[in-house]
This record gives sequence, C-alpha cells and structure tokens, in this order.
Amino acid sequence: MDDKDIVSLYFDRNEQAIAESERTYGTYCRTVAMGILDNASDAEECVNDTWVAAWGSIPPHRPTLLRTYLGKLTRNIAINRLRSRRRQKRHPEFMLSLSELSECIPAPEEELDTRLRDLLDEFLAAAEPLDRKLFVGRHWYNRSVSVLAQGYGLTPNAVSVRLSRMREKLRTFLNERGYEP
Amino acid sequence: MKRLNIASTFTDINELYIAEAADMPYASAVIPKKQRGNAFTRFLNSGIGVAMICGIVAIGVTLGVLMMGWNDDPVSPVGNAVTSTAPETSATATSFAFSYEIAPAKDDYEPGETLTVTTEVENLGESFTVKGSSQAFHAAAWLIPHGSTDIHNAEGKINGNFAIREDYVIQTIETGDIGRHRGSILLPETASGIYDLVLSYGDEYQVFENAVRVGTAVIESFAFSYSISPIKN
Repeated sequence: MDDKDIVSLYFDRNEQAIAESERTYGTYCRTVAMGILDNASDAEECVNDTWVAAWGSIPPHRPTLLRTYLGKLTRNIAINRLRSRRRQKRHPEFMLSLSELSECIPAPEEELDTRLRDLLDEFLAAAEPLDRKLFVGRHWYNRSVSVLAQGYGLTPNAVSVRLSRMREKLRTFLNERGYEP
Repeated sequence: MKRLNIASTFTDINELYIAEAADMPYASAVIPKKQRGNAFTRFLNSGIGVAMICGIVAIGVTLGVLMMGWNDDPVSPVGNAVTSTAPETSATATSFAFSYEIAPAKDDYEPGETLTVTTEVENLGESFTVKGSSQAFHAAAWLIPHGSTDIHNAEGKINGNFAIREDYVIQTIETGDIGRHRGSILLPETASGIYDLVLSYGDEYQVFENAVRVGTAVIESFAFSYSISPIKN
C-alpha cells in the first residue's frame, strides 16, 4: 500500500490507516523517537501517540510525503516528552547534537519560530547536497558522527569537518540576518 | 528548556530535506559486519568462492556464446543484439536468495510511468538477530543505469531514492524466513535506456541487470545477474 492509499484510509476514517502506518513506517518512527529519547518503552509510547496525532490531523491535512510527516509528528512528540523529563537522564547523543546546534542557532522564545525556520530552509537549499544530508542526518535524525561516516562512506574526521563548516556558515548566515546565538 | 525550542524549530524544516537524509547509501554497513551462514555459505562468500563462481560463469558464457551464436546464425555470428527480459532468480548462492517482480510486467516502459516492485528475500543461512540502535539493517531496492559500477551512490539512483526501504531495528530473522517488500518507482521523464535493479538486505546485495528498459532499447550483451557479498567499503 503506498502513501496515497494510506492517506485515503485516514480520509475515509478507516482504522486500517493506523495498522498500515504502523506496518509501513512504524520502524522509521521508532528510530526517530529512539534518537531523542533513548528509551524503548518511551519511544513505543511516542509512536503510539504519533498514530493518534496522525488520526487527528489527517484530515484536514493531506501530507504529500507521509513518512516525513509522521517523522515530524514523532519528533515533536518525543521533544515534548523530553521537556517533561526534568531531572531524568536525557539522551546524550541528542543533547550533544542540540548543543552543537545551539552554537549557531539562537534559542527562540516560542517553540516554533517560523522566520527562523524559513531561514534554515533557505540555508539548507543553498548547501551542497552531501553537506545538507550530513547536517540533517546529524541534527534531525540525531545520528552520531561515526554512523554518518559509515553511512556515507566517509571518515569520521571528514564528517566532523564538514559539519563544523556547515555550522560556521549557518552562524554567519543567521548573524547577517539579525540572529545571534 | 529554551534549547529544546531550537529542536522544535529545526523539526519543522522542509520535508524534502528530511526525506533526502532518511536513507544513507552505505547504511547497511552501520552495524558491525558479522559472518553468517554455514561453512559452505561462508566459503561462497569468500574471495576464493567468488573467484570460482566467476570462473564457472565465464566458462558457461563462452560455451553459451559458442553454441547459441556461432551455430545458429552463420551470417552474423558474434555480437548479435540480444533482447533479454529480466532474470527471475539469483544466479549465485549467498546467505540470502533474492527475487523480484515488477508490475506491470512488460518489455518496455515509458518515461513517467510508475512501476510497482515486489521483492522477496529468503534467509538461507543461520538465524541471526539484528541489534541496531538506528537505521542499521534494511531491505532496499533501487534502479541504477545499466552497467553503473557505483551502485551505492544515492545520486546514481534513477529517481534519487529507494523504491523500497524497510528498516529492521531489533528483530530475529530465522533460517528460511522470507521477507516480502513492495515499493514503487516513478520513472522520470528523462529516463531512457536500460536500468539494473539492485536488491539489498543487510550487508548483502544483488544486481539484476537489464531489469527495466525505458523506451525501445536493445541490449547488446547477454544478461546476467550477480551478487557480491559482503559489501566492502
């Protein structure tokens, strides 16, 4: 069943939509959640919440890329779950990725700063494809440098250097547009 | 925590970039490579095994050319254009047996057409458990231009993406288990000529040559399928 068919099930209010989403994208969403939460049971709950959120948002929303739409829902739910963890341990890889990101992106007052998001899109659009994939892989999927290195056939040092240059460019790009980390 | 607002904002970046980074061309190498299969399978997986199989295949090809070409067509005996349909099964033994079907089934496709690819992978080796913490082990299928040597290059994929991509994070795969996957390939408007289909599962893959022809193309060589395993970076 492809994305279009699954989205049609949501529009028909057919509960099979959840089963098909789980079958097709369950593993993907679990991976996204695990990248932030580092806890299998939390990730599982997070994925279940994703199906509820998808059921509530489709319709009216009609995603063109269902996988990334569900991935975004999962990531937001996982981040919100992380917010509620006050003193509990947080995923070290995610916190490291976030720490690197905060070197070049200012922390917005609101959870979603749309202007900043648009600038990020503009920056990513202008980046080299490989650099963009590495950057999104590091800071959206929270993959470690070693995983990225193996995944793209590069040395860990090459990945680190490329990511570091990307962050420096992003810092300059945002500075020129009035944002300071 | 204000820092988490950065994460929230970054979550909402363009979905195309998220999709683009979802698949890594060498992702199957993320988990530590482990030897699978029995002694015979491991021998086949070794360099000597591959060399022997290549030798046998080469002898078979030579005999085949001699018998089919020179005996049957005395006018233009060698190098005849041979139109071939996609092979259906694996030509060599590996830990996994790959097979596939493409729908609609026909000899030539048109640019812009959508193909449905259904694959089957059978575990012929020992049972094993995938223990990856990220997108470590996956089943995938994609098209590459015929003869392309860099099959892992994501840029080389005909539509820039996998036709099939299914990740296994923690799962035990028993001997004889068959994994079935289905996906679609949108042939771009610029597609033309002959394409090979690559099926991968974990650290093994198989290339099915001449799987898809777009337009009216003629294959000027014999069609073979082959496999190399495990993948070496």
